[in-house]
Amino acid sequence: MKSFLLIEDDDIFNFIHNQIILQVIPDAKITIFKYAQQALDYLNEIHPNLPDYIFLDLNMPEMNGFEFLDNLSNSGSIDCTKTTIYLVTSSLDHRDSEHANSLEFVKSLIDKPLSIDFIKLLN
Amino acid sequence: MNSTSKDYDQLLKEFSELQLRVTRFSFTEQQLINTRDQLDHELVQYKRLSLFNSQALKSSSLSHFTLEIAEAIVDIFEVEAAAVLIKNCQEPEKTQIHIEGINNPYKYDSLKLQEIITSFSSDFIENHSRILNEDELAKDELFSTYKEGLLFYFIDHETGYSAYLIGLISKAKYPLYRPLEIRYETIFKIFVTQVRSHLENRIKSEKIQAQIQQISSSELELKKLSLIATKTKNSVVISDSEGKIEWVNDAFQVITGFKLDEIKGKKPKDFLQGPASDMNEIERLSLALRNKENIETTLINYNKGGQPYYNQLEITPVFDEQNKLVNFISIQKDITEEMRIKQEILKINSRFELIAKKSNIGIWEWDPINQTIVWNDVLYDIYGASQPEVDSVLFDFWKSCIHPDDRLTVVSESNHLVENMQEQLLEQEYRIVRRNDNEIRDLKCVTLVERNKDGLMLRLIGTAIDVTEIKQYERAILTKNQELKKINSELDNFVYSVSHDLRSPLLSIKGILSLVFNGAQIDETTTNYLKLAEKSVIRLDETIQEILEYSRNARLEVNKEEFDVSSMIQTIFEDLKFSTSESFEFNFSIIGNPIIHSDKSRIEILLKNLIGNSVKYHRKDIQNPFVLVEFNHTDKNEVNFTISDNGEGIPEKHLTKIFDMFYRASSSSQGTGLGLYICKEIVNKLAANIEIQSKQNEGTIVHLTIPETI
Repeated sequence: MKSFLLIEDDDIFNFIHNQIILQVIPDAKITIFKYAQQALDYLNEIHPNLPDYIFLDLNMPEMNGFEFLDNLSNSGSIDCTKTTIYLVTSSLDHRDSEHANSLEFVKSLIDKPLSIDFIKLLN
Repeated sequence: MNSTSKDYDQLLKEFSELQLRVTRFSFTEQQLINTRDQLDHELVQYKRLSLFNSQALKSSSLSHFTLEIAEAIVDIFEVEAAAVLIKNCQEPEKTQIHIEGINNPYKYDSLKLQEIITSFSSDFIENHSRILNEDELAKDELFSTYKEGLLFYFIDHETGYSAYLIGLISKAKYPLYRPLEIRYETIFKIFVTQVRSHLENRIKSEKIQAQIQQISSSELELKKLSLIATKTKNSVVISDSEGKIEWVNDAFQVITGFKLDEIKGKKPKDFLQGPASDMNEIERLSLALRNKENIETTLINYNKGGQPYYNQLEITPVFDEQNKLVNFISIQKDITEEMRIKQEILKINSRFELIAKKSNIGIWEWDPINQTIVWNDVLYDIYGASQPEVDSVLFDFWKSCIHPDDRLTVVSESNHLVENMQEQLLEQEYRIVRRNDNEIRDLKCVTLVERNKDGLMLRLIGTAIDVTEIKQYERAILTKNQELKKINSELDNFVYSVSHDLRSPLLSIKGILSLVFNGAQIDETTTNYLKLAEKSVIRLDETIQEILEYSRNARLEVNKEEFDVSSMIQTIFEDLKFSTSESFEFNFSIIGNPIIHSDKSRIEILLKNLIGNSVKYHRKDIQNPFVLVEFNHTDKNEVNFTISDNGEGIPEKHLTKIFDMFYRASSSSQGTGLGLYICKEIVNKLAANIEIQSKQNEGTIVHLTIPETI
């Protein structure tokens, strides 16, 4: 059974992404946080049992995707190699993709919305 | 009566008278004999005199003549010895002395001899003769053995000669000789007169000889001079005292084109001058000639063909011994070529001066040999100085004007330039305090050293430009640039966040639609409507992306880096594969190094657009739609892409407009009309070149040439 963590402030995308994953993987375990800080607390709580995939939105209020990743790698307790992190964005800023590519525990930066084909590849 | 006695007495008287007469007669007879002897002797003397005369005429030199005089004295006057001194007061080296029959203790000391002989004439009476007695002769060792002497002395003012003729009889042989007294007076006078006349003749002939020699040597000199005058490349004109030509040399005839025959008797000014001749100089020349003075001048003259030439001439008047003007000699030189070069140089110089003035370039020149500095007017203005005030102390003035903070560096750099033979050029920027208003000005200066082969400095030349205003502009531009950068980056952020916020709702619609298509049970009509909606959403998204690309290209600096073209094209192919049918072929060929140095993100947008167009506009009705990207990187200065396809092609009427903003050639397309416009903008930005050839329903070929500089 695959487990997913979605970190995204937009309810509509959370709904869409949740549905798309379920359409491909009906028994997927999906946890959703609207705020990065909540997700961070959650990961600290559940580690070392991390979700298989984390879909992290870049543009979020309070703590954005990159700040979240900074905090995650600085926490010390969480081993990021035990999970696969995708950055998800609707941004076209080339600086974002350059930054994302420079981070070693980010698998890749993908465009919103998640596509059914992409999830099929994960399954 | 006594007549007999009377007769006897008479007879006796008669006898005694007869006796007396006999005695008288014999005395007279003796006297007659004596007189005859005397006459015989004198005849001998005259014969000797005549012999001397003829010999003297034959004698070749003055010294020989002196010797003959001495011999003649001994012969004619029947003395034992003789001394002769012929002295030349004007030319002492011509003085002759000869001693005949005298033991001479001063053999090589002719001056001593002269001194002794001339001492006899201390009373300076001209033309006299006298007897020298024993006491007089005893004064010197030379004549101390002689009893009696005869001196004749004369001086000839015309020739400058004086003569001392001495005949001598020694004490030992005195009894054997007849005493000298004043005998033979007549013959003596004749002898002296002859000596004098011989001497005069000799001197006159000598003078004539010398004159003949002088004449012949001046003749030679004249010949040489005339040869020089004939052969020299300078013109030579000889005219009479009125200025009429008597003779010209060959060079004159070559330069002017006039033959001697045509101009003989004419004055040069009558045929050499023309409209451009300087009247003031001609006036000055005529005045000098009237005053019989030497003159040098340069005139514009005209040759026979009317061609003007610059004639540099010098005229010298020639006077004879009576100081009478006989000729004018004029030496002339055609200096047209020299004048032309001189004027050319002046012209170039004045051009430079004008350029320097118009472009406000200060120029200076320092001559280290003569220690002179020259500034042009602009430089005085730059330093805010007036010429006479600082001219004598230019170097110190310059140094004192340099801003105190820069002075040490500027002076030491300048010294380094002067002292190091390898150095040729110095470029400096420094500040000065302008003298007239104490304003601080920025100067940009270049100094150039001119050296000879050995590295010795011949000249320093420099320029200075006041760049204060330029510097101010530069600083202003720099500030503006920084502001612009800030605004740009703010704008960048704004564009990204706007595009992000615009896209987000679009993308969520796209997500919902994909959920619908994938899961929900809907009828066909609804599906078609929703497909149209999806298409619009995608197009809007593309438009947003392209506007973003356009704005990025317009604002961002070209940023060159090295990257792999081959992998870039593969990635583009991968991305495009998702959006087209499986039968579409992507082909790529490469010649040369795949690594290029260029603006990566712009090249990517370009290629994405161009390849994307081939994909987007492929023909659905053919079996093998394709795109072929050919990359050629064999030229080191540029890279070439050729993107060809067998797609719809572009109708010819659209070809000229396809690069226009929002222009869409195909009604079938989903395009925004921005793609090729962005391509064109990028091509401009990269100084690249793009050419599109296309034929409807056959395909399109795009040639892209991008310059590559490291």
